[in-house]
Amino acid sequence: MDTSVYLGKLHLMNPVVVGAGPWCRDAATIQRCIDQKPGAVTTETITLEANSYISPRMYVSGQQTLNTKMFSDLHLEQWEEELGGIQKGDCKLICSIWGNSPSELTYLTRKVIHMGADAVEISMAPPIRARGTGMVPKIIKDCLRAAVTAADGVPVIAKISYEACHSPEIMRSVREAGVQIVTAINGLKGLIGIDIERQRSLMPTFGGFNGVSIHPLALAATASLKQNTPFHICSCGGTMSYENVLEFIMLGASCVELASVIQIEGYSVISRIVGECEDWLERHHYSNYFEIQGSALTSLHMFEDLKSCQLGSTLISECKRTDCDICVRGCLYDGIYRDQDGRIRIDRSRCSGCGHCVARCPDHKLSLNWEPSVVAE
Amino acid sequence: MLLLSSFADKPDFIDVVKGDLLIVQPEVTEDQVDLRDRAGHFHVVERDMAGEMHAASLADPADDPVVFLSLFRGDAVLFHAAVPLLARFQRFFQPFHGVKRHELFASLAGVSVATVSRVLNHPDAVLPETKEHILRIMEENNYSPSWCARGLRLGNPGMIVLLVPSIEHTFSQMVVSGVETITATKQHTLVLCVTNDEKAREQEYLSRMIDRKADGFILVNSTLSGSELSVLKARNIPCVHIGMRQDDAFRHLCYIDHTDGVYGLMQHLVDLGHRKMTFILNAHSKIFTAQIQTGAKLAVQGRTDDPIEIRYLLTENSVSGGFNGLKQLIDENDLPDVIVAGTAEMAMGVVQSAQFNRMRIPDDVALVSLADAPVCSVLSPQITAISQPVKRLGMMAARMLFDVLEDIDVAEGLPQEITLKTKLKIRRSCGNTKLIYDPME
Repeated sequence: MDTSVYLGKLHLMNPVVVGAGPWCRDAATIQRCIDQKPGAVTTETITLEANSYISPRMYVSGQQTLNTKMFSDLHLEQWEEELGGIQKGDCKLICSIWGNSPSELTYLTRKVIHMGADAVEISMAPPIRARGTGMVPKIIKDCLRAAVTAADGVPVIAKISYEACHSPEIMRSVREAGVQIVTAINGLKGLIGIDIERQRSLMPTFGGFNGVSIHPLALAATASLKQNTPFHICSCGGTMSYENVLEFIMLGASCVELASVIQIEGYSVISRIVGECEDWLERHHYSNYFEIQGSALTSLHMFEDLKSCQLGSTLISECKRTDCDICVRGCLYDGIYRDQDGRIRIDRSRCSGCGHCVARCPDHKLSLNWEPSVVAE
Repeated sequence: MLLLSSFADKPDFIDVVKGDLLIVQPEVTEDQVDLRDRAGHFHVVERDMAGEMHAASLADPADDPVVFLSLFRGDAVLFHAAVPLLARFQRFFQPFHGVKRHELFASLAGVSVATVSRVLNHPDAVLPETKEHILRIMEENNYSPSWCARGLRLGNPGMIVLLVPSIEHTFSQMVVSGVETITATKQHTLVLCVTNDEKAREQEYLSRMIDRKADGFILVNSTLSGSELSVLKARNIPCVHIGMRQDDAFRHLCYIDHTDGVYGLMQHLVDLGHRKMTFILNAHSKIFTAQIQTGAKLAVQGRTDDPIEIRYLLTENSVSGGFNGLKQLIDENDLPDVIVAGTAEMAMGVVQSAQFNRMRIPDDVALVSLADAPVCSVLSPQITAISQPVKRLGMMAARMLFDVLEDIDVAEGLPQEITLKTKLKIRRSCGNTKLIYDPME
């Protein structure tokens, strides 16, 4: 089995990429990532000036993270020393950089390539702070073009926000700059919550929101980019399991970033997900990732092209529970009720086939079918 | 290594440095024979590091399409002999980028480009045997790292000289802080000279520090012209200028793009309803003032239906400069909607003047500063200001200087003019009432 993939010109030994973040903040942590055998590791975002810590800066709620640290706290010179000590092996090193003028990006690009970067990722719109380059097509184009020129053939990756993915104008400017690879999506600007007793925000400022909740947004971004643009895609956003990695690839991604999941579960999750993806391929008799890349795209259609049809909810078998009324309470069409004997019944004349009860039944006793008679006992 | 790209246009201007490489690549198979035949001519100009003429054993282009050649700086006879020969091979030349020399050494030595780079920049951090190996490869190719050329000055720190117009202002202090961050990392001594914007003092410091064998200079908003700076050029001492120039006296410079920043600020002030604006600026900073005026003009132009009125008042860069600025406006009965102070110090003067005259900011007159300082977020009301990345500017200048000092190759591939962007910090003195206000620029 050949597990390698191509992200544009970049050849990776597998499609799992460690995304930029504090888990890749120096030589020691980057080495810990590399030792888990991902296809590539991305450094924390390197800028011209080291950025100081605020405390606290990381907020976690379940499988959601908010991070107010956007950039590295190391100087460029320190990075030079850090990266010198890394044993890359087959793993590729992507250096993430941020700057908001073309000459600044040219400088950083040349420097990180000189330090041994196999690719350069430009953080186009960090979710908080310095949105300067974020949404103005002309600025994006000038900045990215400067980096592409400076990179002189080394792949340049634009890391873009959810909003940018859906803006034809911005994606055109990224393309016109000569960028062929995008990482999508960047974290979203978020707040974790309010302490209502003290009537105060739990965070002193906005943070980059990541984790399981942004996964559907990242899936949609991947599908849109794959169908509307020629970019090679590194998908990013709420990848918590090998299933999530495969989802992105089936929507056309070349590779997939792990980020929050490392913060939540630790470094070992990297090799676990790499292994589980390969096990899945083997179980399903695929010899490489290209065979499934984009395979699910054909099941997506324009909303306008979907035809209305007469499906209705059906009980697969009698529900014996008396303590659960989720389907009854949840039906907005009054299509589900308990009869005199307390049994769950469906009124097909009222059911509109929305699928809500099917999704929510804890025992999976409901399904959508054409006609009640089709499910004759 | 601009050698090849500029070669065709102006052969007289080729600046050849000791250890320079010419990469000659035959593009098609038939030409390889051609090249090999003619390559014989290169023997004439190849020398080893000791300057001794010797016959070179050129690689067979059929096996290895890369041959190289080193020239001695200042050896006019050899150089002129080489020019016509080189001209005949022009079609083999490909644009040559700085990193390639590292790549060449890396591939010859069987190590990564980063390792070669470390041998050049941080020889202490490389295993002795690896270092020896790479140095041998370099030596075989007539190249020596700059630390070697400078006499292996380990334990004897180099000296970087920083000339600033003043030390009293936040700007200079932040530049010093930024430069020092890098010189400390590079284990160099930083010498600070304060010029008071005086030509004579600046020249005096330059020549004194050249005599003391300074390794490189960083000049902040220098008052000297190109010819007055020729002393640096004549000795080939690397120097970087901080601040925009209206001449091309410096090859390496970095500055902050004030025009763009002021444009953004003006947009914000217009959004808040301000139409009459007075800029109180430092009479000495002519280039800064010109950039500010360009940005303001851009923001004003085309607004025929809803015009903006701008007045420029030139004073000194101090608290009293700002104080007297507002006083003058009150005396002349020409109070604007908003005062734009050139520096944080001048903004403080405006605040004090307003207090003396029982005026409230921003109700009676709004105030913004073209330069942010820690005090701006402490005063009440907090002062809206343009945050200038001055520390980053100092770091950048020092980096450019060390790029030249350590390794010409990398510096050649890097931009020689770096622009940094400002960021508007919207607080209260401008009339804004929103708490967290970060406009989507």
